[in-house]
Amino acid sequence: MKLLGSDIRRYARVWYRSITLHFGVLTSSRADFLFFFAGKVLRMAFFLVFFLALFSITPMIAGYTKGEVLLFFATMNMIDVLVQLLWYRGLTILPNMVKRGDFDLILTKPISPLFQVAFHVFDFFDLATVPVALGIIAYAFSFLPALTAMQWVGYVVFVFIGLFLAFAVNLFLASLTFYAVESANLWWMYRDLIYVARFPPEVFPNGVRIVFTYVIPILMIVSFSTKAALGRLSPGVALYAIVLTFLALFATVRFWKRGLQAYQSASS
Amino acid sequence: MATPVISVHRLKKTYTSYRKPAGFWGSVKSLVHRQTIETDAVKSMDFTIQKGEFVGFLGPNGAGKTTTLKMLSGILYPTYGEATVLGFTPWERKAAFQKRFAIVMGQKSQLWWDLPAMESFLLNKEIYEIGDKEFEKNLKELTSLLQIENLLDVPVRKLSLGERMKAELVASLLHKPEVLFLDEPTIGLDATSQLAIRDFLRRYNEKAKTTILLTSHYMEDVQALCKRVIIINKGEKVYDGALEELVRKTSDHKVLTVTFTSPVERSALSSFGTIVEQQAQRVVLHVPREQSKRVAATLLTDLPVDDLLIDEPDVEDVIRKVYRETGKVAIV
Repeated sequence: MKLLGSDIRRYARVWYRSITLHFGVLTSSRADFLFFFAGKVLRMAFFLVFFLALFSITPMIAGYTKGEVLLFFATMNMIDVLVQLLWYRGLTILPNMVKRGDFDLILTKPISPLFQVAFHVFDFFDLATVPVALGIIAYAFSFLPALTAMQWVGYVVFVFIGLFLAFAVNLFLASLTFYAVESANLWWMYRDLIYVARFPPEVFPNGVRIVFTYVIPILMIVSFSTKAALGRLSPGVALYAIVLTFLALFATVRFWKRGLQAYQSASS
Repeated sequence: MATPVISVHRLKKTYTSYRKPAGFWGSVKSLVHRQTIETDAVKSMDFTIQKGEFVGFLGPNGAGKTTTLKMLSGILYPTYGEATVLGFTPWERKAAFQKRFAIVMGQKSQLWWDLPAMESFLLNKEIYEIGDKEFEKNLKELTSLLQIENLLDVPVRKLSLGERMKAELVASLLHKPEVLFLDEPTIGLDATSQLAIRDFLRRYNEKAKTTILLTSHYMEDVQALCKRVIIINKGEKVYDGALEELVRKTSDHKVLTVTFTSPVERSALSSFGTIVEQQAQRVVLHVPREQSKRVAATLLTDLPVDDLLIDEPDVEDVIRKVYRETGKVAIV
């Protein structure tokens, strides 16, 4: 237990040092930061305008009110921001690292290669968008009646389940790099699906909904937390999602480790 | 004999790749049918290295040097065979092992490009769990030996190639590794930087007793640093021993460089050996090894000799000859 504690402290120190370095790189260009921030906020603003325009002509979408639909979007947005803030950029850099041979040195360090790759980039640009994302969530909740304690717990738990599942999906995509370096298209597909899933699941036909829930669990990542908050997530499906998430995490970590064994390294 | 620090037994690595015909239709065809190519980068490697040895690992391009180093540092899994470094199987990638070795690759960098090297050193301090006092002491010692104390706060991209390589060495040695793998550490460096790095490595090996395995295409590096060399070709070991011994074994001649006090005709020299180079008052001769002393004595008595040098053949020529010949047959 003592060893585990010292490992956690060491990883925390390495993470802090890595993100400090990355911050140093980012701040070398103020223009980059301004453009990125403006782009992100404008995208959120455009969706809000679109959303408000939509609800000016209809009171409900797929059985959900304005506040409820907004909460789907706001929560999806928050999960997406957190994913990008914490590990998305690190994992998407992996194909380039493998192509250039930079991954070699990562494998020689006395620290988990997964940790080094996934968490060496902390996107401070995205950190700046967190308050905006939180503001949209608060705005969404302002339309809704007060939630019960159970609904709040369900919401928070399924935000974390969504994050864990997103990590598993992202780790699976990153691990494919060890077998096929050109896996960038799959990352784009993931981004597209996340954006498709910003609406309530019921807007999709049954077949699509089943595929997006049980085959490519994109709806579990972004919608289940809002459904839990609205009291529309059945206990059976909730349990299934929790079990699936931990199985997915276990399986993708094993897939990553197999990938590390298959790693061929670029020629020097 | 003490337990070797590095032990390699029947190590083999086969890479799998695909042949793809050139052009658009070649690309289309390769989507349907691809020819698999299996390349044995390392065929069956055996050697041991004792603590504190500084060994040159030589071979032509594609001989399997870097692949062997990558297996020994745990970057690659072998296809077959065994290896231990400091008692660990490298490709198990245990942190206890990784804290005790380092690898420096001349063509790859562990430094953050846009930031001063000091930032990368501080990151390594946390990764390798180096205490504050030890870090200060090691950093001071290494930067002073390499004379880069004043460059620690300069962004890496602003450093010259030689300065960057010095910083790479500092980053790799801060945790005092017991084993150091060096893959072409002087590649692309000018003569002065090469000399500085070479001098540093010699002093560091003597002082810290670090076991070092070096690959380099610069024979000056190997001659200056390595008492022992392992030569590999086409994935197989072809020689393992002292460099002088290799020269003696593979060269049947010595080189006599003679300077005369007055011009000497070519016809007067041809009976002494093979004339490799001749100027008015200077000649370079290749003379059979066993006759070199007798020929030198005769030259001194028969011709107006001002100066005479007897040398072993150029190591680079010897190595080139070994590469050429061991494409077919092993020496040892």
